[in-house]
Amino acid sequence: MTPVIQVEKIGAAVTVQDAGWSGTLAQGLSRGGAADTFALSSIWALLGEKNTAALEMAGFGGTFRFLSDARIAIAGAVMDVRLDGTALLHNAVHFVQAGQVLEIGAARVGLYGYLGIGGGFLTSKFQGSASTHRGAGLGQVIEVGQTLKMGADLRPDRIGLALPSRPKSSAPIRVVATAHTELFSEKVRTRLEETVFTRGSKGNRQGIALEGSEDFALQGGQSILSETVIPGDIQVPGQGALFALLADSQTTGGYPRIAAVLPCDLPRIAQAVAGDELKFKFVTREEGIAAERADHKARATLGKRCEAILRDPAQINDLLSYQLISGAVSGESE
Amino acid sequence: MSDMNGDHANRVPKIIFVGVDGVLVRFAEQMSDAANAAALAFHKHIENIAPVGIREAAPSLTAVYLKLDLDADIVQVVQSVTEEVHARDWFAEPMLQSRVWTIPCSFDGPQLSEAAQLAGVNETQAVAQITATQVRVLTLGFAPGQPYLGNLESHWNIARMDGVAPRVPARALVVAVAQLIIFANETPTGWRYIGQTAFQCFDQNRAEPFAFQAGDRVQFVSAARSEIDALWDDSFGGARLEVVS
Repeated sequence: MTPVIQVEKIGAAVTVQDAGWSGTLAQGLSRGGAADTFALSSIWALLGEKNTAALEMAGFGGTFRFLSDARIAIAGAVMDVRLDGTALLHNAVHFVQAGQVLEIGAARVGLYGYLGIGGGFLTSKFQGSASTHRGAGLGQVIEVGQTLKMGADLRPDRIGLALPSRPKSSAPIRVVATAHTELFSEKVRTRLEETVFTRGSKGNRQGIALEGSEDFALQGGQSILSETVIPGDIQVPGQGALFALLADSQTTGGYPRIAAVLPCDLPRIAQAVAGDELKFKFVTREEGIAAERADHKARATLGKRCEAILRDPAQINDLLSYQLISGAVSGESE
Repeated sequence: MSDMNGDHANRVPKIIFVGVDGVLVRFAEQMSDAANAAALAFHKHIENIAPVGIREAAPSLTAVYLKLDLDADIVQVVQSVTEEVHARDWFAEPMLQSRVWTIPCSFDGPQLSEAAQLAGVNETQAVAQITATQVRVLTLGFAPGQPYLGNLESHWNIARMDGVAPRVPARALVVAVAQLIIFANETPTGWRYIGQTAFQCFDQNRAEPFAFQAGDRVQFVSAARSEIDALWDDSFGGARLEVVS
């Protein structure tokens, strides 16, 4: 319950997120939680903990003054991260001393950056999740002047570790058939695979517009009865751009849905910034299930893939190398 | 869709895959009280038996979405879902035992007269008809705790607007397709804004954060705008809840 951070400057959309909700769909509350679930898994692996809450920083971070010693982990979108002016490695866990100031700037690659802290951020929870869902008025949007608390850090020695960066994939985003896929002609389904979409400027944690071709409208699509929708669904409105749903999506909708993005590929859509190109490819359900299982396994073994940060003076600051000498751990299994 | 036209053919639920980890049990393609009751009954059943391999179940108007645990044996899970679907005639299930809400509403929304006109009645008749009809929570969805209420009589089957009203306030009463919604949040919408309640569908600080349960009955009573304003700080907006046994 230690107050650990004084927020001195903050981006417009920095929120507390964890894995979100499960079991609330029937009440109209979607999964919510981190937009990039893989990045959240990376934060947990780096810190050596699970299911704790992190800060999700959309586009820009902030300035954080530390009131006590802590470990921090950084993952997701690549942002300029400096501790007392010295650059910190991305996708890594670092030690921060009381009194130090952490500055996190604009995203250079991707959209959602994540800041985790040993023991997790402690904020109020609703039905098991601390996630922030603006539409529902749940969670916390971080504000200047706020003091953030952390839970007990059970792994204080686990520092100076990094995960190998994932190469940015240019492979098409995998989708599978969903509620209305069969109602679309083969020609239209092929068009979905052949169109190079760009992430439109309209978008947030609820979903993003996919611009490129508007030639997907379904004859009689207006008469489709409203049914459950989930993050990853690609909706086809009567006119205008396709819309891909993300973590804070509505839970029901009457627009026809042409395809559903595999959950393991959803972080790539969430991390797309306006103008980024997105391509889609249908895979079979069996291929989709295999990809999901492989992704679950990859996440479960992330802890083992953390490696000691190479003591390359060009990469790390003095403080960090000092901490490495005094107590770095590496290669431990999770 | 089917090669048979009999009532029976329309009552055979369809089981389709939605996304990589979802199954949808669809009881009908069109809204009807019977299909809605079937969906709610099947959802209740799934919640009760909590089958292995199903992580979450959510009903919509005439269907139930099941989220599968991909670490389970999927073929086996789908097989057992199929058996449950066909184990009984869900259309024959009695309506769930129900609770009755009485909710004050000030029928002075900017589109009341337009909505009434489309339904072929005048404003006074519109309010009289809506307050004389006990509607049912057909499903919760779109936003936390938000109810789809129906059905009004068929002349209220009015289309949504072509355009979208950019900002209809939270707790507004809106109408379209013979259904009513009390908005959980301020939202852009194609539904017509006919009245204002002070009722919060969702309030995280309440003992019962989601006010409604699917199957609840709702009775609106006409109130003056000043009464609604005075009820604003009551998160149930002056509503009364009776449990019918």
